[in-house]
Amino acid sequence: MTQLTAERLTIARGGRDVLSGVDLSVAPGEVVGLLGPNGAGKTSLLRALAGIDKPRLGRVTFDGCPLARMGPTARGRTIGFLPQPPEAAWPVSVEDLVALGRLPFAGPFGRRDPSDAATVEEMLIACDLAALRNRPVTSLSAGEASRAFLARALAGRPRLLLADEPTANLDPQHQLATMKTLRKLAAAGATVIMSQHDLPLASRFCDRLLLLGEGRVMVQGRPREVLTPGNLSRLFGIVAHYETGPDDAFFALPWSLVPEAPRDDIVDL
Amino acid sequence: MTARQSKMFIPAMLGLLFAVLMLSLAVGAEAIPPGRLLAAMVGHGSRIDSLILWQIRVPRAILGAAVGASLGLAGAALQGLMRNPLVEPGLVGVSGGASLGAVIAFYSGAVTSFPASVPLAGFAGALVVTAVLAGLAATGTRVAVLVLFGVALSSLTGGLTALALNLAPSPFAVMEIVFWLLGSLADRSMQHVVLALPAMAVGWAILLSAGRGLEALTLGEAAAQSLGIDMRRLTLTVILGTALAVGPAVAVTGTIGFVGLVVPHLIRPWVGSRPGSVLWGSALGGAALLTVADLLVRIAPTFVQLKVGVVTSLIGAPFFMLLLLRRQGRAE
Repeated sequence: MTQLTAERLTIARGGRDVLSGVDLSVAPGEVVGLLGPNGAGKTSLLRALAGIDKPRLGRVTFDGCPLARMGPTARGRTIGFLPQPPEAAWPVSVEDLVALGRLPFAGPFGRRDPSDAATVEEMLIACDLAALRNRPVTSLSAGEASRAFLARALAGRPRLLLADEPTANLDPQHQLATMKTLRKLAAAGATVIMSQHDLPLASRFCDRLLLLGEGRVMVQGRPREVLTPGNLSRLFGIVAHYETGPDDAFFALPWSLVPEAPRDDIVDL
Repeated sequence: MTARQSKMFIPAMLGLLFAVLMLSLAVGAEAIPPGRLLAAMVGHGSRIDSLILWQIRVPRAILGAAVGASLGLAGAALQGLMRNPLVEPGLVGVSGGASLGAVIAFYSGAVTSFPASVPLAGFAGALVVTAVLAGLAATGTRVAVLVLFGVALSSLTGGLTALALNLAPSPFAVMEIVFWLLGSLADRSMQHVVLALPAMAVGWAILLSAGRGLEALTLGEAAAQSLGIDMRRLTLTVILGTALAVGPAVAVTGTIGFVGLVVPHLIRPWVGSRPGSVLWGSALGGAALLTVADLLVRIAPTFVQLKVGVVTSLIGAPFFMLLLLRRQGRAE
């Protein structure tokens, strides 16, 4: 059962195609990671899948309905988007920030349903923010703030969460906590798509990886299948060290730079 | 600031506004004590009291509150839209456009044959400037560039206003324009209220409708869009509402600076900085602040009555400087 599909997407930015011919279908419960060097189009793809930017060609559908035909409110209620870097223009309290996630559910004149308050409360507790609820979000440490922004995105109870580098700038504890939270969201039936620069986190926590490079999706599949020496050499120009964790989980660790120009004959696609 | 405290804030502001409005009806060249004021209000006062109240004080109080509300509300909306606390209608050229339009109406003599031409031309001037800004905003111009462009537009309208003064046919015309430009609520009649209030009220409604979008915009444009906010529509809403609220305001009172800049800053700490609440608070706060400023002008023991625009600039400019220094201090 697929929930999100992208058909032959071509995404332009600044008059130039950054990605073309992207085909993707993702099922509920799946966690998908987008990998690729800076400028490969990870953020552009996430924005197009969120319906923020229209693709130049192709279409995105959710539950069989094209995003372009979904109203903005319906889209807001279904799809969550966590930008990088997350931004708070004003020193609003953590509680008010998280409550912004309920905005698409507010009635006319901003009337809130009592259940909204309960949802906000639940997210504050789930993201360990209860003690910080009255603090201005601009006064928090980077780790605390990113928990608040994640709680904001979760407060809309999105069926599809698109997260741009959700673990950027986080210490190891918060990186693991964030990935666990995203896995929990997927376990509850949502679809999660994130961009990632951290190969070990991507290989451990994502069900599927898309390697973006050369203006297209070079390859997609299970981490073990796509994080091959040839692919990593071609995509990033690196050599990885492969390990298996205590729970038998595969992970790839960036180890050294490829000594010379990558050779075409070691393609693993 | 807890939620309960901010819930009390709007009623408290309403009470404050009511109190200063009552004071502004009672205070002036001829003080009217509360008993006589009440009698005049319900139609049992002396002829003189009723005349002062209904012909002079009431129009002045309504205009002062309405213009203050327009400036405060537009300042809050523009700051919310541009996510920049240093923006105000005067800084981005909207007020400049409005005064240029009004000056052209003065200068061309249209005002003598058709008094409504001043507010109408003022509105048109504000609309031209806002259309340029909206056009830039709609094509995705960066906010910092948009602000600088507004500053340039402000200079341009100022230059054109100076040109009109330079070319004015008589010194008398120059004086008329200059005094008008200083910004004043004195000698305004019910006619001015009738001319300006309807458009301002429409502007207020439009600006207040932007509250939800501005709340979402706290998270930046991409996140706001993902929450179902149409950025282009929000930008146009704020720009159009600003033109409708500020254009007629400047057109009937002249330039009154810094209210739009200062008021949102005074309100923000009381409402937890939420942009939607800042809108409501700034409308009420702007109304109260300008009413108080006009009250000060009337009771100040000066030989020539000060223009309220002069007073707001004298208080506002140092506040603006302080704000810049404090922000720089925080950034370091």
